[in-house]
Amino acid sequence: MTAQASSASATRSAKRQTAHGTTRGKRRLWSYWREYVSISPFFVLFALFGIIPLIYAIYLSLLKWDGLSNPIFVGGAQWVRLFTTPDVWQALGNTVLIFAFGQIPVILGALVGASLLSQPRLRFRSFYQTAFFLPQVTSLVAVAIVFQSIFSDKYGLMNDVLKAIGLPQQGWLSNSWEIKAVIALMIIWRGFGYFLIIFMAGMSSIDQSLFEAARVDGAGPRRIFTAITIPLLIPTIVFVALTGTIAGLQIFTEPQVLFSGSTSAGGPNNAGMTMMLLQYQYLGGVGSADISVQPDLGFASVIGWVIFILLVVIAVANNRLLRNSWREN
Amino acid sequence: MLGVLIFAFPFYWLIVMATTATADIFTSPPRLIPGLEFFANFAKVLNESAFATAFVNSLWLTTTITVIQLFFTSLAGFVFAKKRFPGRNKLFAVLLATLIIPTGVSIVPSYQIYADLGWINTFLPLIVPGAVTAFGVFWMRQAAEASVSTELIDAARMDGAGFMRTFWSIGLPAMRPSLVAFGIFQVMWAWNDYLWPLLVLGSPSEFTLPVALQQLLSNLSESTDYSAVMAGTLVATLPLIIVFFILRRTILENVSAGALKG
Repeated sequence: MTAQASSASATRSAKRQTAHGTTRGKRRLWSYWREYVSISPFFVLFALFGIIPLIYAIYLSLLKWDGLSNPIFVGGAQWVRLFTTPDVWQALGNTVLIFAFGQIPVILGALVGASLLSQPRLRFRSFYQTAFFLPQVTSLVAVAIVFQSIFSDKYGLMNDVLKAIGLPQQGWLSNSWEIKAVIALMIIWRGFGYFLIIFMAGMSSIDQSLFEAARVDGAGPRRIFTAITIPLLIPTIVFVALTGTIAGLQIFTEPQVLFSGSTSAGGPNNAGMTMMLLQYQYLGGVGSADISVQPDLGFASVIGWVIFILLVVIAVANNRLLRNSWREN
Repeated sequence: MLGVLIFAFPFYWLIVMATTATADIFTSPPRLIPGLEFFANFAKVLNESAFATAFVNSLWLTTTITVIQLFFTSLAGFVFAKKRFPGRNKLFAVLLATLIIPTGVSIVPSYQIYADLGWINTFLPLIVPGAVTAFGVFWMRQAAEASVSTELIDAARMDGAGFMRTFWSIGLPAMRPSLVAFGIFQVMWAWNDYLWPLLVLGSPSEFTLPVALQQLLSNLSESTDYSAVMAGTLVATLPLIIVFFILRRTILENVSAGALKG
């Protein structure tokens, strides 16, 4: 390489030069062994714990297996079962609703919030960033515990407040819609700061002179937001939308902790049952005390595949949508 | 400003609950000021559950995972950014593509694989499979690209520094801010990790903090009381909050530095 050629005068590299000199231009692959060894841990681990499980998941989805006795090969029966099991459709619906109430508003809200907090005249910017980011460092389990105490039906703070101001109390953790709203609130509370900081970083890398020019041309804040900020922020938005969707549709901890200790894993009428939590039930994991669900690793795998396919479809659609909307602008 | 208050409230409420005696929690109207019972509540957690063990487990596990992760990701990131070798770009593209594979689908088969390896009820499933993440390598590659000077590497090579030596004495020092930032995120993720610890750790002597907290909560009716759970939650949450306040600037500046300046 050029660096080596230029360093030919130094004695030591001159030695190396002769060593490689003969094979120069067709340097053999093995001479890069250090490079390959350095990057290999990721690829080895990914093959072992990323690829093999995926292939194994296909095989498992063709079995009926409680994990203890001998597995029975049932072919596509587990996939057919998908369409005849109402639990799955309920969980899918819940997951999508929680995603729509929680993840989508928090991303959009963070986008708007970031643009407000990016105003050059704003004071105490880092104070706001700190305050909003703080929830992100807390564990989801802790968040769920605190939210449970705030929204608990009987002694919850929220119902006390409603009572004090003369409004009817709500069954926050017993009614179908309220349960989803509480889970969505947790997502919003914990995720807002994270997305906010990412968007702010994206905005700070936009050339300030563009904003100046737009202002000189008489563009208002809203016009600047849609005509400059958003288009230039597309890479960030794609990243956030993608990772946000992957995380948002795999909601598990919030309902799992919120309803741990209750008789049904997804809360009353399983209104907080998500796809991941349902998969966990069929896996027979710790605390999956739902009596109506018999552990079945085959069916759990099928549910895993539904989540997988759903995410791939959404990721692709998401990508297309954002790119198209960008071009139109 | 109102937003900040609303966002801060759950923390405040946690402190109120953790410092109030159980008998005083469920009063109407509710208590809104912190009490003095924190140590009594926390003593109950320590006595009635393996909370201290869980704290120690979380501490050493988080440290181990973070150190391993930092070493392998920075090495791979450094090599991807600063070395040339056949297939480099293709391999990196493969690595990036793995980022979008959802983990949900591999929970069942991974669990079976860990069971076959005899890894259930050990910490290995929490350490080994995630020892190098694609995200980490990506982050470190961006860091090395931006901050490691190619001239210095060449100079070191002229002085006869070997491959590892160059990485250790030129690469790592230059990547230090990113190492700190990514390290904090790794600490955050490891400390708060829940699904896999819940699945593979079987006994209270192995539990990490999130699992121990969940157990406390689900055993609420039997042994411990609400204030004790809250005191435990507060203690489990505090270390990261303290770390966050100390390293606030580095964290905020780096949340997306690795992920976006690509």
